[in-house]
Amino acid sequence: MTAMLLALGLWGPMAVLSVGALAVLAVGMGVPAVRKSAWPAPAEPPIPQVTAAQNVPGGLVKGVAAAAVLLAFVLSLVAPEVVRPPLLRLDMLGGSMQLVFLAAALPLLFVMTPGDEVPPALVLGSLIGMALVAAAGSLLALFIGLELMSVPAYLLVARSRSPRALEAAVKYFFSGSAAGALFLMGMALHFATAHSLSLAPAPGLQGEAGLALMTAAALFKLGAVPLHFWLPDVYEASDPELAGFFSTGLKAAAALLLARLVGLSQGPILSALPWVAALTILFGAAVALRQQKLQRLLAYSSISHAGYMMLAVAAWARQGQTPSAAGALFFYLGAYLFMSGGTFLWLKVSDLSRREQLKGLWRRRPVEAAVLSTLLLALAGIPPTAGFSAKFLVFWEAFKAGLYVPLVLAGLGALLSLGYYLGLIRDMYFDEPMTVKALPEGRQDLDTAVSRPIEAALAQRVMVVGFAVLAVLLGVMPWLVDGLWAGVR
Amino acid sequence: MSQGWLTLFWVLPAVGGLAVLIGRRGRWPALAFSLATALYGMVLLGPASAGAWHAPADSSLTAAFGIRYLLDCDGLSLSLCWLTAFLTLACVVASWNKEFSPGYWAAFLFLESALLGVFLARDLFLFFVFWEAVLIPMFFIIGLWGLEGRRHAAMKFFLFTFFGSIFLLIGSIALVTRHHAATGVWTWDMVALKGPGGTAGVLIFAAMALGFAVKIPLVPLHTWLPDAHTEAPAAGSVMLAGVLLKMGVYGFLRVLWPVFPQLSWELMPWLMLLAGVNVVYGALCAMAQKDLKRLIAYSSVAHLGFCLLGVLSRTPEGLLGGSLQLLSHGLTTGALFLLVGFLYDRGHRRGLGDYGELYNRAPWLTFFFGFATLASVGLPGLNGFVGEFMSLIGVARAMPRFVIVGVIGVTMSAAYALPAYQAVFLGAAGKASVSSTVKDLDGREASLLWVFCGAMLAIGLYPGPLLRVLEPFLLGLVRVP
Repeated sequence: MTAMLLALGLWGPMAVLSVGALAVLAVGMGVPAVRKSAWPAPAEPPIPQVTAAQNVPGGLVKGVAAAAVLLAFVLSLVAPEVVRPPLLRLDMLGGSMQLVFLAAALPLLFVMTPGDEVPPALVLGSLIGMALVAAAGSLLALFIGLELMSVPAYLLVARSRSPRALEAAVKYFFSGSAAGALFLMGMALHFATAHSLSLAPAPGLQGEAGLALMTAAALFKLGAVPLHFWLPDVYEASDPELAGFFSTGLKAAAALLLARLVGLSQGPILSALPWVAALTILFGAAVALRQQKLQRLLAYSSISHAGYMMLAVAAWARQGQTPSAAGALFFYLGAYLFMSGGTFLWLKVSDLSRREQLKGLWRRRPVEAAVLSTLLLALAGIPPTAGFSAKFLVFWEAFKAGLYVPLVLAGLGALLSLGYYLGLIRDMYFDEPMTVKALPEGRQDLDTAVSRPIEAALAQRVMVVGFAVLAVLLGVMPWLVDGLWAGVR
Repeated sequence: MSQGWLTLFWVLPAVGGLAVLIGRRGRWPALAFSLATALYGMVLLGPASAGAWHAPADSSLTAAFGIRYLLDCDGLSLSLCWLTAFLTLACVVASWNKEFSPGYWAAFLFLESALLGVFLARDLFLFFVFWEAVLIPMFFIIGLWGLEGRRHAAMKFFLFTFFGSIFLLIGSIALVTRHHAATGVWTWDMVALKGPGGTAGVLIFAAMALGFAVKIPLVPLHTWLPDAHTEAPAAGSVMLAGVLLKMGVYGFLRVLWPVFPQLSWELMPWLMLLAGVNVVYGALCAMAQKDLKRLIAYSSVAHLGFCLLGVLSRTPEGLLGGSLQLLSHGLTTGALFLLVGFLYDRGHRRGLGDYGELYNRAPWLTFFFGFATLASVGLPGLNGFVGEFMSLIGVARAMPRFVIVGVIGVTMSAAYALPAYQAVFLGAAGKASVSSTVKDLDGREASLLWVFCGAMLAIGLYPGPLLRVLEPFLLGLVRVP
C-alpha cells in the first residue's frame, strides 16, 4: 500500500499528463471539423482562421486537457516526499515548483483560442517535461525533461497568430538547441570526472567546468543576461496568454533546473551567480524602460524578474539549501504567477499592444485601468501587494546568505523598474486620451483598438480581475502560502 | 492598549475611502469619515496616555521572521495622528466647492489611513508597509488633480521616496538579522530591537537614515519637494508639507534613537551639520523664489532642518521643542498652503509679482495670510516661536556653536517670508496684476482658517498641555552630556 502511494506520488502527475495528452489527441482525431484545421495549408502562411462552428470540439479538447492538469495538480499536492535513485525523486523543492507550473498551465488552457487539438496536447507535452525536471534524480532525467519541455514550446510559438511567429519560433529553436548542446557537453565533462550521472558533485576543475556548461543551459532557459537575447522576440511574437505561460510556468521549471545544478556547485558558480543575477535585474529593467510595445516591455520585465529568482536560488544554495530559502523561491514564483500571468492575460483580454494606447485609458475603460495598475504595482513590489512580500523574502534570504552588494544592486534594479511600471500607470491616469489626429501616419488602427468594445468573454475578464485580487491578497496574507507550504512538506 | 481600538483608528478612514468609491458620492461621506476619525483620535487620548508605548505585545499575526501585527500609541504618535486627522478634515472642507470625482476624496481618506498606520505601527515591518502605502494615494493626488507639471512631479516624488525606502528596507533586514545573531530572538518590535555597534552599526544606521532623510528631506535629497509641493493641488500640498515630511523626523525619533542610543549620540555632530545645511540652504533658496507656493515649499526644508536640529540635541528642551515644531509647522504650513490655494482659485497665478494691494480687496485673506506668516517666522505668542525657542535652548546645551546656525535661520525666515507677504498683499499692484479678480474668503474658508489661527494662538500662549502629552516617550530619549 505504501509502495503504491509512493509510486503514485512519483509517477502520478506525469502519468496523468501523458494519458491526458493522448486523450486530447484522440478526441481531436475523432472530430472531423477539428482535423480539417489541424495544420495550415502551405499557401496561406501563418495560421488558419478558427470559425465559431468549431468551438464545441475545441472546448471539449481544452476541457480534457485542463482536467488532466487539474488532476496532476491535486496529485502533486498530496504527493509524499519520495527519493528513489537512480533516476527519479520528488522532494520539497521539486514538488512545490511542480505546483507552480501546473497552476500556470490552467489559465493558458482556459483562455486559449478554441481550435484544434494540437496546442492543448503540446501544452500537456511541455508539462510532462517539466514534471520530469521536477522529479529528476539524475542528470540524464534532467536533460530529457529539459528537451521535453522545450520542444512543444517551439511549436506553440510557431502556431501563434503574430506574423513574426515563425521567425521567433526558429530563433527559439536554435537558441534552445544551443542550450541543449551546452547541457550535453557539460554532462559529458561531468561524467568524465565523476563516472556517474547522478546528482552528486563532481570534484575538481573539470567537474566545475562541466557544471558551468550545464548551468549556462539553465540560464539560457531562464533568460539570464547575457543569454537572454532570444527571449524578447519570442515573447513578443507569441500570443499573450502563451507568453504569460512562458514567463511563469517555463520560468519556474528553469529556476528549478538551475537550483538542481547550482546545488551541486562547490565554488566559482556559487560566487558568480549572485552577480549574474544582479546584472540580469539591472539590464532587464534598463532596457524595458525604452520599450513601446507592451509585450516586449513585459518580456524585458520578465528578464528582470528572472534575476530575482536567480538571487533566491543563489541564496538558497549558499545557505546550504535551507527550506526557508526554498520557500522564498517558491513564494516568489507563486506570486509572480499571478502578477505576470495576470498582466499577460490582461493584454489578451484588452486587445491592446502598444504603449500609446494606454494613454488616458482611465477615462475610457476605468475598470481595466484599475486592474492593470494593481498588477503593475504588484510587479513593481509596492506594499502591500504579493510582489512586495516576494521581493522582501528574496532580499531577506539574500541578506542571510551574505550577498550584500548584489542585494543593493537588486534594490536599485527595483527602483529602475519602477520607472516603467509607474510610467505605464502615469500614462493611463495622467495623460489625456490620444486623439486620432495625433497618431502616426497609417496607425489609425491603434485608436480603433482602444475605442472598440471589448469582445473577450466574461469569464476571461473575471479571471484577470481574480488574478489582480490574488496578487494583492497573497501579499496581505503570506500565512496562507505558509500553510500551503507546510502542506507541501 | 488593545490592538482592536488602535486598528479601528486607521481602518476607519480606509473604510470611508471604500465607501466613497463604491457609493460614487464624494464629499459628504468624506466629511463624515474624516470627522469621525478626528473625533475618535480625541477620544483615544485617555487610554493612550495611560497605556503608552511600552504596553506588552498582545497580538500575533504571523510569527514567521518575528513579524507581528503590533500597534501602539503614546503621546508622540497620538499628537501626530491628531495632526493627520485634523489636516485631512481641513482638506475636505477646503476642497468642498471643487467638482472632483469620487476618487479625489477617496484618495485623501486612503492617505489618512496609511499615515495613521505609520504613526501607530510598533512593528518595524508594519511601519515600512504603511510607509510605502502612503506613496500610492499621494502619487494619484499629485498626478491626477495637480497643476501643469503634475506628471513629472508625481513620478519624481514616488521615485525619490522609493529610492530611500530601498535602503530603509535593506537596513531593517540587516538590523533584525543582526539582532537575532546577538540575542537569538527574531523580532521586528521597535521597542525590543537593539542595533549593533561598530562598522555594521554605522552602515545600518546610515541606510535607515537615508530612507528617513529623503522624506524630511535633507539637502541634497530634497529636490523632489519643491516640484511635488508646487504641482500638487492645494489640499495635496497641505498633506505633503503638513504630515508627510514629519514622517522622516518621526522615523529618526521613533526608530533610530531608541535602536541606536550610543551610535546616534556619536554621529550627532555630523547629523547636526546636515540639519544646519538644511536650515541655511532652504532659507537661501526660499529667498530666490518668485513663485509663492515654491517659496513656502523651500521654507519647509528650512523649518524641518530646524526640527531636526532640536531633536538631534537629545536634551529635554530640544526633543520637546523639535517635536512641538513638527506639529506647529504642520498647522502653519497647512494654513499657508490652503491660503495660497484659495488665492490661486481666484487669480489663477502664483507669482509674487502677479498680485499686490490685496489688503483692500481681500482683507480677510490678507489677515489670515499675515497671521500664518508671522507664526511661521516665529513671532512670540504664536506657535512657531515656542518650538524654535526650545530647540535653540536644546542646541545651545548640546552643541553651542550650532546656535549660530539656528539664529541665522530664524532671521532669514523673516527675510524671505515678510517681503513675499509685502509683495503680494501690501505692496503696489504692478501692470500685470490680477488683484482685481480676487474676491475675499467666503464664510466656509474663513471659519476653517479661524480654527487654524485659534490652534496656533493656543499653542503659542499655552503649550504646556501639548508638551505634557509629548513628554513620556521623548524624555526617555534624553541623553545628558
